[in-house]
Amino acid sequence: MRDKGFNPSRLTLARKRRGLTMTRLAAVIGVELRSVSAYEKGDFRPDEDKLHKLAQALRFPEAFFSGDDLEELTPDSASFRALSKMTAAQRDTALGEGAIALLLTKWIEERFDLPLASLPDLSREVTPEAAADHVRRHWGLGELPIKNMVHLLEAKGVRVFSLAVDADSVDAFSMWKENTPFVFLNTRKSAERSRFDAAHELGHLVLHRHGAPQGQVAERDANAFASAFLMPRASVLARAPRFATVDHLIRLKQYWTVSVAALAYRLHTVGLLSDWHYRSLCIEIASRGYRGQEPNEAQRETSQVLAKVFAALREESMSKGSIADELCVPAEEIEQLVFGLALTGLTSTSGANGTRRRERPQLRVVSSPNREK
Amino acid sequence: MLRVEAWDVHGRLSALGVTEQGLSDAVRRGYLAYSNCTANHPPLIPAIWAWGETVRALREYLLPLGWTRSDEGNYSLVVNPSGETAIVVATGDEGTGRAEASPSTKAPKGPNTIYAIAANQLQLNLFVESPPFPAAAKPSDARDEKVTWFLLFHRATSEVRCELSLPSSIGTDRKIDGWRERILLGSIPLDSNFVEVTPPALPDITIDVKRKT
Repeated sequence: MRDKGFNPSRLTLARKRRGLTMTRLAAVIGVELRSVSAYEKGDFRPDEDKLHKLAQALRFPEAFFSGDDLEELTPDSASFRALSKMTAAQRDTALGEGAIALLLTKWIEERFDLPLASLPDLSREVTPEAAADHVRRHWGLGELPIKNMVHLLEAKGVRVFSLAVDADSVDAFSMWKENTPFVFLNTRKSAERSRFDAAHELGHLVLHRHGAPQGQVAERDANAFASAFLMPRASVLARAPRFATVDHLIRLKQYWTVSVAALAYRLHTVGLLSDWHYRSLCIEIASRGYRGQEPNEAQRETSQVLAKVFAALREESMSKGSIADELCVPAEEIEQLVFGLALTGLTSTSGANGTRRRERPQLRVVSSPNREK
Repeated sequence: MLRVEAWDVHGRLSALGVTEQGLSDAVRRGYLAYSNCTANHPPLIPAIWAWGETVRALREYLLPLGWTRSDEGNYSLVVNPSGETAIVVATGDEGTGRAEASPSTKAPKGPNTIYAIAANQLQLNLFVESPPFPAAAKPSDARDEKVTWFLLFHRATSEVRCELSLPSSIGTDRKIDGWRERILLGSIPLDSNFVEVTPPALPDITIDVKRKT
């Protein structure tokens, strides 16, 4: 993996990961813009001193800048939800995290057998609602609520990572890399929002694998898919409120583990709420601040695959540092991808038994500091 | 006269120029406003909001149909296009919406209601031996030109009952005690506050992650 030569694609990735323009990076390390541009084009290599400065400025180890080509993720290869409000730098930062997730996935897949992708291709499905039904049938989920979206995706071969970027800029994104689907979730949202994001990205993965509809249409379809996937029509009809009030919806939403706003939306879609009723509920939900702070928030979901991988590695005394070292990335990069949970355990030198790591309360405690950042 | 059967209710309402759906939607909106109140609101507020929102919804429903709004003397009415019929919204007691009971307004009413009922008596040529109101309260303005119906609603534990009714007398306690005609509307069922929502017990997913050898 490590030949000694400087690899321009790695510089580009590191720069974008930090949300820097070439101009800005040039200023930080005290060179002309054209030098940085030449480094990235591969026209010439930074000398030892410049490489050191680049590494420092970008907070990546020097070793990162040499090695195999890295796949640069381009905006059109991934689904971005909040496309309109996102700056190019924010998008690049998220994509940079995605590229590092590819590195980590490759490293893990060389050592572990993970589930293979089992997602139907529904790009020809007529409506998102029908597609959601199709996926439910394909996976044998019936009309039951989804207990854990992250585990479900992982069991079906989706690699799920956490996204540690500003919550207002990127909710989530997903992509296909060859035959492996990836989903990135911003974990600074409520658990319910994050589950909806996961279902939304699943929608993109099955509906838009070949990149057909773009922009607003694709987003609307993915939202409709997520809504129908998490709250199947028949199951909603069976629990139809007699008279939907916000207080009742707060109780009812626990059945599907969705946000109160998502439930109101779904009730309206399946025809259980009149327009004025839905509008009044929306106004009240907003005025109570529930769009920002979910009432009765559910327990946060985390990755089971990563927890198991890291538990196994810990038994082999593999430390957090050693994984990051092998990938030549800062340890924090790994930590941000793995729901802030699994690697923290690796730093503990006590021979605690690996299965404890998988217990939910453990995971929750470990992940909570991340949420408060 | 009591109207309960669907054909009778619909026929009578349509003669008055309204529909059951329109009236009960107004009551629903009022209930939703009521339900949006929290323990931090002053205790009087939920009932006032329910009433206020019902009045608003009723007007939003009827004004496009040619009715007009009147707040004369701070008495909030919606008046039909000919000016002969008005509807006022009031909270009723537990007899509201029940055929076997005779409802009353929940709270004692003020002079506006007394005038309105006096006007109803005059308009309908009801024989009144001794008017239940002092002479000074006798209607003397335009209000005596019209008949005023009451959209009564009552919040019970598991439903909101409502009716559109025409009062003919008011007692000395200033609560309505006689009805010339009552049109019972379908009750609006509510969800119980005590329903426990428990997701079904589902197995955890176990994902196979095997170390390569």
